[in-house]
Amino acid sequence: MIDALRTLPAWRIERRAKPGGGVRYRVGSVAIGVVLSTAFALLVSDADPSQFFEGLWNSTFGQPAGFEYMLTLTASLLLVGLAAAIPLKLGLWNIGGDGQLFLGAWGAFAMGELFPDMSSSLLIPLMFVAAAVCAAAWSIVPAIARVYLNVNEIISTLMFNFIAASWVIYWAGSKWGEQASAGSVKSESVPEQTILESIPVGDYLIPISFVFAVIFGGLVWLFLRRSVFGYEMSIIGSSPKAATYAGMPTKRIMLIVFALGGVAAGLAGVTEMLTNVQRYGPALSNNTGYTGVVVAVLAGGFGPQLLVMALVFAIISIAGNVLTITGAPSELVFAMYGLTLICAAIGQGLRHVRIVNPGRAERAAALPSVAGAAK
Amino acid sequence: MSDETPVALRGITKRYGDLKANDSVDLDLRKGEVHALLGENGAGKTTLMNVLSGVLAPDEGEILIGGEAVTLRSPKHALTLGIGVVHQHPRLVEALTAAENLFIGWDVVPGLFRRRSALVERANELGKQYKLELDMEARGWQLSIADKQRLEILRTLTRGAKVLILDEPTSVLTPAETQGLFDLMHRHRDEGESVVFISHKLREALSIADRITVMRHGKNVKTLERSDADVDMITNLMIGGEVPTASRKKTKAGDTVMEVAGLTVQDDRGDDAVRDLSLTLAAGEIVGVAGVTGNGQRELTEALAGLRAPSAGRINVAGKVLAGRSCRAFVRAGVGFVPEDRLGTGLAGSETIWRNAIMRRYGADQLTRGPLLDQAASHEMARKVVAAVKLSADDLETPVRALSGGHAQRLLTGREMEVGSKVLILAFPTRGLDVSAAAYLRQTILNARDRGIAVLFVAEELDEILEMSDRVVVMYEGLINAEFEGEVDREAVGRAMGGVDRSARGGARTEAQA
Repeated sequence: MIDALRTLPAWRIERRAKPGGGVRYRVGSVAIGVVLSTAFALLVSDADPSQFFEGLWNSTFGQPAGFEYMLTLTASLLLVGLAAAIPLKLGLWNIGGDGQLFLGAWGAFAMGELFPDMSSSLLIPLMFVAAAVCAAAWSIVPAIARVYLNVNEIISTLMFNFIAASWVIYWAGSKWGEQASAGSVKSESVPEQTILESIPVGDYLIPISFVFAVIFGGLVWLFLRRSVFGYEMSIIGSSPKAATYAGMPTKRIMLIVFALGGVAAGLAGVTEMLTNVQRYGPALSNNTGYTGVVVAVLAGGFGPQLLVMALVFAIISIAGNVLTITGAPSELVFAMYGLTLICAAIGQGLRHVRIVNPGRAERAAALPSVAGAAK
Repeated sequence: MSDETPVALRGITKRYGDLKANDSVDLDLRKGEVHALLGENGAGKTTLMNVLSGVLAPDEGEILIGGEAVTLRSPKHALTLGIGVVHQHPRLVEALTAAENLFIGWDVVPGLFRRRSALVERANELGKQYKLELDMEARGWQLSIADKQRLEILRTLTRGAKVLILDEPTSVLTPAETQGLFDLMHRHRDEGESVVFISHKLREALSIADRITVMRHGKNVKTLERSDADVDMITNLMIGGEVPTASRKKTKAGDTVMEVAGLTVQDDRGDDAVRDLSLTLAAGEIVGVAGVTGNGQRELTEALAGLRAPSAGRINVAGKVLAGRSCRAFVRAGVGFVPEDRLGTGLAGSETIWRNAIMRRYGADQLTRGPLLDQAASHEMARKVVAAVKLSADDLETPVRALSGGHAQRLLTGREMEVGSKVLILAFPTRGLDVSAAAYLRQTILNARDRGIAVLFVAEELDEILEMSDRVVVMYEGLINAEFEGEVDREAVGRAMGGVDRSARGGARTEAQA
């Protein structure tokens, strides 16, 4: 009988006719990624686990200050996540979230420079509009190159980030620079009346930027679900050829979608500036734009799951901060992002296959006690 | 025995959930035979061949090669044991040349470092040796479907396939190319090897095979010698009953609805595919377009639907001038179009049934409310489209990709009949459908004709065209070179399809490629 078992075929991987349940695999693989990356981070940083988890709890849900910061971070990630997720619906990659964020903040800060004495009820909306316009203008350039000249948008949007980074240094350093500051490049403060306060709820504080990001994201999501434009996007995303056949202005829609992504990232710039940093400078983004791409890919859409994923990545980011207190390098958090992303990618791949054992039925038959017990 | 039976399948069962795609199937292949595997779509032919070629592992049963039980780990492993498959849909890298595609992943050639000219030269030699010549310097996307398939056959043969499995190979080939393929199959057989020919085309199987196996509902219904088989018998085995036939009543054609004159259209490579073509369609008639695939039918149908802008010529529908205008203008003029490429152009696969059902009308006033899509009205229209072709309206949220080929085509046709109040342009509407689905579709088309719609019916099966059409035109190299009305002489149509002189066609092709 042993020989019989030995000759049976072994386990093998087989393609499924249809991929398995999307949500199950997505949630499962991200959860595995978070657990693995946390374990990995603890391992390499020599941190005491109980201390780490206590610190993490206090910096997220445990204490008001941590909670407020967590939501500020979530707001930025939600907006830059949208900046990547909306074009991704058409199969277009917007890696330029960082640059668009900086340009948005630039436009907003410029308004503050021009009208420093304007009342907050006028100046803040003006800053938001300026941020949206500047970021959209910035993102539409690679979009035009993509749509009309077929220039790969991944590379062009990425390269635009580097241009934007120099732009920030120039303006924050030379033009609007705070002469007193040494070391990091940053501008003067934004006009005092424009700083966004948080809304107290019990002991806790909800940042306005978070409320704004959730409302903006919600409106975009609803609009794209219900509108003719959203319908066109869904068909183009599924099959550009079918969209042409349906008479859709595919190119124009691609441009608008890219601009919309830019707007979202630009709004992340202005909310971050008016909530957290309060100055113009490189500190506005800690590679937030890139993290936004990861958030968008893992969320796989721009609905509520994007908010959940933004929150998850805010918490991972905070976990990285907590670890740096114990002496771990600050780059650790990117390793954690990366590990989570890899796990999620593996999860997406595994949806398409299953593991089968051709001999299992026969093996079960070869073990009468088990088969008998089952009956 | 191993000499006689290079490959045998014993009791192969393959389950997908509750569905048994294969149900204890036995099959023997002999050396030196062409073995046809016949059955309707979904009968389990492709699953069985996927098992034999190492793509799928059977849940039960064994595969014997040369009398010995083997476990096939992968298609590559199967190929090292001499079993090679040519798939129904060619799998090529579109951006690479034919020669590069031929040698890709083949370790006998240090691919990337070879000079391109040497690669092309070697590819041409192999093409000549196997009598499967094609333009080895053309990129994948420039090749016709037929050439792509020839390339794939060549790729499989050159890598030492002894048992050659061809999955529905003739559906994309011209009669001349089909004959070429049959010659090749016979040569392979005469060398003492085996060919498995998967098909749902009875006549072809009967003309080429030495033995025929008929499958139905995942089972091997019967394996018989060619000499014992005839059409009626095999048909009954395939469908397990009578073939439904489309009923038609002769109607008088009405006024001219669509008028095409001097139409010239380019293909994707920029060559003229339709040249100075003129054609009229009258209300209540079906004009069949016969012709070998690749003689401009695709470009013609796309131009007549506004999807491909003609470089010259007139397209008028009921007095409206349409040439050079957008798809939407054609839709507004009442021209419906069922394209050749259903799940790519005709339908958006990952989107829901209702979204697909309104695709050609989505911008119309009755479906919109300002910038918003009127959900209720959209669903209402979708239900109407779906009901018109007797599909279930319960699952409007199902992605179209989950539908069977026949149901997807019904949805597409239903939608285009809603659009095409005056003209219906149909490109290969029954291709790849099983017998009953095709019959349903033919009846639907005849009903549309009876309602007074002008129908242009492009198909590849001459029998089908003759059965359906009130008038038949033959397309040859972008022109209509013959027109038949009333009693149609099959042979004359066949001659027209081949051009005035068959050899002239070959010459013209080479010229075009040079």
